Amino acid sequence: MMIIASAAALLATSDPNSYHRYIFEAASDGQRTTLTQSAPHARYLLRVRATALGPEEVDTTSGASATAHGTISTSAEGVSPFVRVRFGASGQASNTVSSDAVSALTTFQLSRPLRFTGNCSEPDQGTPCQAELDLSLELEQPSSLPADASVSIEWSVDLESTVSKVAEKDSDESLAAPWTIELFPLTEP
Amino acid sequence: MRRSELALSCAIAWALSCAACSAPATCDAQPYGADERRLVSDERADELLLSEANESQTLHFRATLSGLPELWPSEGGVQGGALSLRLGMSYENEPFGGDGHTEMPQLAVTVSEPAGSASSPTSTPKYPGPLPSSVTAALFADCAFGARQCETLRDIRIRRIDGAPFPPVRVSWRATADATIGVCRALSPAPELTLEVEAP
Repeated sequence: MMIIASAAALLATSDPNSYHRYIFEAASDGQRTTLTQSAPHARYLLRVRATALGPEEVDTTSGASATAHGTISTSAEGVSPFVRVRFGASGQASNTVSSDAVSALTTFQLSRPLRFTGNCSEPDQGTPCQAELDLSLELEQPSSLPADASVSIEWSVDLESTVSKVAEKDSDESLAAPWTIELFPLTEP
Repeated sequence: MRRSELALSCAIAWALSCAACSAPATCDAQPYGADERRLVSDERADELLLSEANESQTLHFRATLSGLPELWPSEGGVQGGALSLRLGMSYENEPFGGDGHTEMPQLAVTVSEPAGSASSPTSTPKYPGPLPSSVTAALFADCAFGARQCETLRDIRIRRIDGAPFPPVRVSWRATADATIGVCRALSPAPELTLEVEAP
């Protein structure tokens, strides 16, 4: 009798639309890029690799996104060197369709989906479960910058994914994502 | 004076005083009843240049509702009004900006309130556009019942927040006033809404 009553009470208090949300977070190390009239462009490849599943064996890579943000400063007074910042799918950062781009003077923040491929249900086996994005930083008008001046960009990338599991009540739990992050400078072809 | 005469005198005095202080006549009892009409003023537009931090300009708007009918519906003649100001921004050289992808100096837009105070400033986004930033201010809230004309003055101050390294920015603005008024159908009134602006 008591068991039935307890079960009934539990049913009465449970919300079928309640979820426990695992919020997986990671960030790259801070980077510093210097652009000049003679070297007005820099590109980087961001590679994120999942190394393990999350709690309750959840796939940490679904619904993931990356946000690149940075601050810009210049060594020259009285000039406004806009920096074209593109953030997009690997190899397509110069394609405006598949990348997000801004012309920034002091700060920027760009977000893109992080699409993992590979064996993400068993990240420690088979094809690596990984995603790649390109970040491109380019002076809009290099000639407007004095030859001895430079533009300095401090930037980093934040990564996040959210996985929901049905639960008795709504709750959030932030965790370090089981991912490795690599950044590679790319040279122009 | 007998008690019945005294009561009659009091009743007449009350009736006279009540008639003198009664609300203005309405058209609710008329066979065609009342209707709503939305009025929109002609658009006013101009542009200004803000070059440095804290540089500002104030636009002085005067919205006037005229030709209001003598007879009003009991719910009130002027049921709402607003001044809408839309701001666009551009640089004078490339990149011109205003496209949602170019960083620009933020502007603080403050609307004066009728009591002499000012609203909290609204800030434009760091990457404004392509849709204009907009600000609205209420109009004709104090329009007296039965008035034949109503007027509201509104000052809107546009202040540039950020200075260097942002270049001078050209701010284009467009403003319209609108109002919804209740009208008595049988009267076929022709009210007008005008918007005037005085820029320094």
